[in-house]
Amino acid sequence: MRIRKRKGLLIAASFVTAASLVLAGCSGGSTNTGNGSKGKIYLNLSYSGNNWQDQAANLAMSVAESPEVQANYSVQKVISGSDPQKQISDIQSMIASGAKLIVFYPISPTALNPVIKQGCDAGVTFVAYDGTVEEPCAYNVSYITGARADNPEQAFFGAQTAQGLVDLLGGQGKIMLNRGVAGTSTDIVHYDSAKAVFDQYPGIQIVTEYYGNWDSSVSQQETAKALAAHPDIDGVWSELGEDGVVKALQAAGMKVPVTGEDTNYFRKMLSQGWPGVSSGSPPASGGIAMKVGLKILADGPNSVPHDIEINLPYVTTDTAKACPGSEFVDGCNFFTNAADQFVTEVFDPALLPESSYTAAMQVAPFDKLVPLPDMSSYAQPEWRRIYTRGSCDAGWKEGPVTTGQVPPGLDGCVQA
Amino acid sequence: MKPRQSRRALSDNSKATVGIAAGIFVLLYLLLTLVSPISATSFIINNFIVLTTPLAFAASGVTLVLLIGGFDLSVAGSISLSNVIAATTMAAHPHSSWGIACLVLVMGAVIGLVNGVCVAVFGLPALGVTLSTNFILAGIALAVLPAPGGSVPAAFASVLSGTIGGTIPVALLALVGFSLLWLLFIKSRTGMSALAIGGDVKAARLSGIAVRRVQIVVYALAGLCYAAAGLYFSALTATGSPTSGSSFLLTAFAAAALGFVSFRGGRGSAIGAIFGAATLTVIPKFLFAWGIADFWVGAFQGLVILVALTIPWLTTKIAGLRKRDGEEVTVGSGPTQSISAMAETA
Amino acid sequence: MQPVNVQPSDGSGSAVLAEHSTTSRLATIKTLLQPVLGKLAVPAVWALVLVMIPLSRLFSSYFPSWSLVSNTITLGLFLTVISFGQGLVILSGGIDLSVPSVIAVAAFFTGSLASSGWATIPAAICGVAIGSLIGLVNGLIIARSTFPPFIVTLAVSTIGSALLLGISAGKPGQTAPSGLSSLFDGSLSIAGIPFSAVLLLLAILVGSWIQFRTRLGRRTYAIGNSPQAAVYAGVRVRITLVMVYWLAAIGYGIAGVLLMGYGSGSDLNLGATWLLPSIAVVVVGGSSIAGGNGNYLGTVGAALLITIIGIDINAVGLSQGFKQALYGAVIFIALVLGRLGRGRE
Repeated sequence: MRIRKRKGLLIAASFVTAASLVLAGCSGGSTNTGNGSKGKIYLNLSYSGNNWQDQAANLAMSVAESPEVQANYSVQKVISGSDPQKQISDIQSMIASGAKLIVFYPISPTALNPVIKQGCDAGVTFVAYDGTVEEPCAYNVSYITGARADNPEQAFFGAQTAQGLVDLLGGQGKIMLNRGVAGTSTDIVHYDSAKAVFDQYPGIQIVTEYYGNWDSSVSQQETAKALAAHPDIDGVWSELGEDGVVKALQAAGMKVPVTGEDTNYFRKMLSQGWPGVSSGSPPASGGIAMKVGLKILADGPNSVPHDIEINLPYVTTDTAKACPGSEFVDGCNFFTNAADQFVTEVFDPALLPESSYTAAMQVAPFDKLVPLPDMSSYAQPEWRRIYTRGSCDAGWKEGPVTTGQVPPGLDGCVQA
Repeated sequence: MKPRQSRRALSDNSKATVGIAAGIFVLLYLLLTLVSPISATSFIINNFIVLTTPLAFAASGVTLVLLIGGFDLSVAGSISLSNVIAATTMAAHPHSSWGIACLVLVMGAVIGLVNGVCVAVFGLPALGVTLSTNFILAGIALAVLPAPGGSVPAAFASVLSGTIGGTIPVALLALVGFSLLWLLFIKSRTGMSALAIGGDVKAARLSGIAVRRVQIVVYALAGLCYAAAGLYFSALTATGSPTSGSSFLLTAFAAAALGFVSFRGGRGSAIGAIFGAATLTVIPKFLFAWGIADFWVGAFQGLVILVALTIPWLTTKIAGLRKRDGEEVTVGSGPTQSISAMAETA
Repeated sequence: MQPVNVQPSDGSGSAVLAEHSTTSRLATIKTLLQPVLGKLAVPAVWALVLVMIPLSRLFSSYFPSWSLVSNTITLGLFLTVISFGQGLVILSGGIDLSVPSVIAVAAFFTGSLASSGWATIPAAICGVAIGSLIGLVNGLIIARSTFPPFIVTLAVSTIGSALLLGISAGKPGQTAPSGLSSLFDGSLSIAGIPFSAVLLLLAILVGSWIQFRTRLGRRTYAIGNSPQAAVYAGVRVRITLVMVYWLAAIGYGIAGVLLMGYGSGSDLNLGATWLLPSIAVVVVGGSSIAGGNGNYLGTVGAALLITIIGIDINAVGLSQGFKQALYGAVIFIALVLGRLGRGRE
């Protein structure tokens, strides 16, 4: 009797497996928009399930699914998850399937080096967005070492927001630091450049630092814990998740300057008078990276620099401005009705002007793509190379950078 | 049941489960090559084997511990630490990479030894001990290497991930060699004792087996396997990352389940776990090649695992073992035990 | 019929007693003493919690403070609710790896229903109900098969997470309905006491009532202690197991909804960091991983203890790696102390 039950379970399970395969195969067509004769483009995510990743992917797909691209290429989105081996495996699968272009968010700046090299040798173009990779044959499109649009010498998210906080505090006060995910190079770049600024002001005291994991919920919890231990804080420097920082401060009845990245809630609070600076990672880099990849396919591997910097946003209490509808007009920089955790930097007037709130929230293929301008003005200066590629260019060596960059004295590459 | 009879019956059953695990993997890989003929080339096959090897070693280590009816959550921290130590020391001393590799293996065994002593001598619960060890090891890895970096010399990495004579993958040789070692182990006194302990601790103790010693040895060997996994991961990625091991925590056990290793203890083979790891690795490739949407990968893996769980029943029938009402001979318990099984024997 | 063996073996090599006459007398004495020693474990954990409050002075000159207690209560609330489910499952002799996916599913559906017009309470109930389906499936499979709970819950939750990823494609981030956020934003606090203290008290009362006062709770103890004896005593093992996993998932779902209220929003990774701590809390709180021995009050104490220790460790100026290693060491020490308190099994 039990034997029959077991057999029944086995048969049922196999049937379910087969059925799900069939169903999945039928529904799988929704993300696979191509056929065999067109060139293959892949959008490869590692992390997923949060607003930033989702928005960046939607923008990239909105670019790739526009009619002019679809005429020549098919595009497929692949989510690898946070397991490096899975991303290595997926990239190998993409290479084996004959990919022409892989636009991806790398789980690690180094773990993918061998597989990217394999792909480059097979003729695949790799464009990484937001996160960077050290393998020289891949292209990097990121804001991490980028400079402010209005002042190209003011670079590094960490340094600029640190300076902003110092200015708001008048050079004196106790601060705490909400970092990102421990063990990532992005967090280290932000932190090192911020510390380099804070170290120049003896009146600024860092009382504690903690890891919010670039997550609003974790940032809120960690900030609440830290506030319990340090209730006399004067300001907070934060990476992504600053909306959680502000909520924790509000729950504790404190209103102190906060610098962070670009969540909608934070900018809303800024516009209501909260002292602070909003900079940070633009999901627009997903769409921009796709455009860069397409340009490489059309105009050749030297048509864009290998290291592209996106401008660093910089919004303050004075310049935070609500957008009237769902379009970016008049220099507005957040949306009244968007979710708190919506990441606002989805628009770039020069590089992604087609963008809108709608295209960030779901894939909305752009009717007409605005061609990229000459990207050589977006090339990363050599002196910042070490932060993204792990080493300096030929003819350069490590050393403190004293000119062309504010603040001076940050580590970088200097001419040998 | 007489001991000699059960021993042969167990090994028949082992052969059957390993055979089925291998069969499932081969079937899936063949289906993969149908849609993606390039997957049959030696280059791609080598890539695949190198990719599978870290998980294969991790799953083997976990298998060892499951065999004696224990548990080991420290696989993640152990792999992270091995990877980090390998990448940082090899970066500082690129010419001693093989010596460093041996040291890393020893370190892994020592960590396993500590786990084993806590469990066997101090009587602490394996789940709790290895949970705390995991946090400690992961913390040390983060302290040693706060961000991805270090480097593994090309000489070391390319040997482990390369081929001999252009066709035979070194990783395949490593896995074959490991399998031979496994067979030697499982037929040795320690190995047979381990199976007996996992089957029934009381009976094992009564028949004079040095239970504590075997447990310590098994945990130490498992630690050795995790270190090997970490080394291979280092060769695969040519760098170190402090969180590199975290994804292995659940996949190692999933691979063991796909290899038909019994979570009750006393039955299973690391060779099955190696094929289980291969199956787990080929599923995303298989789904990718067949054009199935990415998020279905998780659903498919979960379903395959559930289906795989029903198969050991099949193999016991095939191996011709007589059962009372279909229940296992083992009486181990714990979170890996099934309550309903014990209830139904009453 | 008297059970012959005192405790089932957990493969850890602990002193499982052979059937010798003198040692079985020791066994009987141990059986009698066990409840007493076990009872000591719970007050010990709570004593540690109270001791940590003045001890926290070592970690920060601002400790102890009212905000330390208040934060321990609020953050401990989530761990307490989650550990109720995990504790019940471990009590029955299993383990539940589906914590993160149930939390994510419940939060997602609550948020998306609320944003399409549902009122807060129906949306939350529906969200929790959908999340609890994962637990229901877990229970059905585990109750009707001999599959190990570790793998079943792992496989089912992998399927659940994958389906969630597919369904949510396009809008993984959710805003919390306003009623939910007001639970935590201080608008409901009385005389400075956060509302989460009320919720914590509620969780303790309900959890204890379920574990000690209901037939389900008693049956779970029996099953975890000795399934054979449970069957002899007429306990309906199968239906109890289904209820255990389903109830546990309802608990995780409620925690997911609360977390969403706390953060005024959620994404699919909301539950990621709660699995290992939930196991640690149950183990530290005195439950035997083999099942059959455990006390929700001990689990609650352990949840608060681990939370307050986490806050203290954070306050120390160590690097993240050392903090994590310290966290692991603390769990290990608590494990050892708990084992000493209970005596060798």
